[in-house]
Amino acid sequence: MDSELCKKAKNGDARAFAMLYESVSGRLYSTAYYMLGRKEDAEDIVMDTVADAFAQIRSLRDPEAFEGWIFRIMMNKIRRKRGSYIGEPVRLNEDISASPQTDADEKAALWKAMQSLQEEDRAILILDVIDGYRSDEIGRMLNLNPNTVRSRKQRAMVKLRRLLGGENDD
Amino acid sequence: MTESKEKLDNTAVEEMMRRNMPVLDVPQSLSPETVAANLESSRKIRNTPIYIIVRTAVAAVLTMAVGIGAIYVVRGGTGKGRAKEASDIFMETDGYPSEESFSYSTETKPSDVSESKDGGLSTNGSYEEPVQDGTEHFDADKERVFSVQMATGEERIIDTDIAYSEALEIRMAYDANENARETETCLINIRESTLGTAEIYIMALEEGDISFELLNGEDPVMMADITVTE
Repeated sequence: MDSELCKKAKNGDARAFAMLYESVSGRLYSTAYYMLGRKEDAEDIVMDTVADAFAQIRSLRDPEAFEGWIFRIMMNKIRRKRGSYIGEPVRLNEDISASPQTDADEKAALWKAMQSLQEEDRAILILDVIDGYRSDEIGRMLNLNPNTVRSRKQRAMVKLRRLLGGENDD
Repeated sequence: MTESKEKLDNTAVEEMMRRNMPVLDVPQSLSPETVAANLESSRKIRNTPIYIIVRTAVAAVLTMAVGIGAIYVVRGGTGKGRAKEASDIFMETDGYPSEESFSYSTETKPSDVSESKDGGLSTNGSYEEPVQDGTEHFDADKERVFSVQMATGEERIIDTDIAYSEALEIRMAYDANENARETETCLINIRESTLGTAEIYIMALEEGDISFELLNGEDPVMMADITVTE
């Protein structure tokens, strides 16, 4: 992470902040979308996150921690947002999820299986598999011990394998 | 779905996730250019004289309200009844339950423990906390993750509602010594309780983190993350 950009952003330079944001924007949006399943909510969450992060960037001491820090702000917002979904099924907007390379049945099965995971386990899988973060980085984002991240990922994978592959216990 | 009937390994599942859940391009509303423009304009609004006047006025009104409220509380607090009332309100709103709601009997029988609506455990109606640090009972019907903080030398018992005679096994996660029950951090054992159920005995040995799973056959029924501090 560019410490010069971070310094400028701390001094209120919105352009510098936007350049910092650019390096994580795709992963922020994808994570929000796959956690919430709604395009509009994902956009709102990322916008809120960006506004809060810009307002609070003075509190960020280590420029290297920017990525984990902004994700942590967003994951807290997602947690609160999902609390308001109780009782409502979460479905992926087809305009985004449709892709010519993928099979609609496979996508539906995967999404259904992902929905059956605990929220935090789903976040761990998305951050790990889709975004490519390490367990220590995910631990900082979700306020979890890296060992916990690894063991919960393993547990979530076992569950996904069972649901997707018809794997038996034996 | 081509792989639906085949056994999948982790790599296949990860590939399936990457195929179906790629990193997306951000919409125009979230492009760095739009974001920079929005932040710039909101900063300009914050710096306009009218905004500063309104912000200052709101801050002044809030300060006055807080001051008046403080005077009211100080004056009202001289009466015993009000003081008691204020104390009760404090106890209810400071985020900590009263002492009674934490009461927990170590003699609790499994039949006395039931699930509350929010997923917490209810022990004779007096314990409504969901699983958290220090929770000492778990229900085998529901996968649970315990987060336990202990000091070196401390002992902890987690009682279960699983019969001791059933095949139970402890598996240490990410420990070189698979299935070990003694590590540098903790000594962990399964024992039979006086009720014939399995209880997990943990003794903290040295500072560190350790995770373990309790297996009933091949099924993980409980996972615990233990942090031992000095």
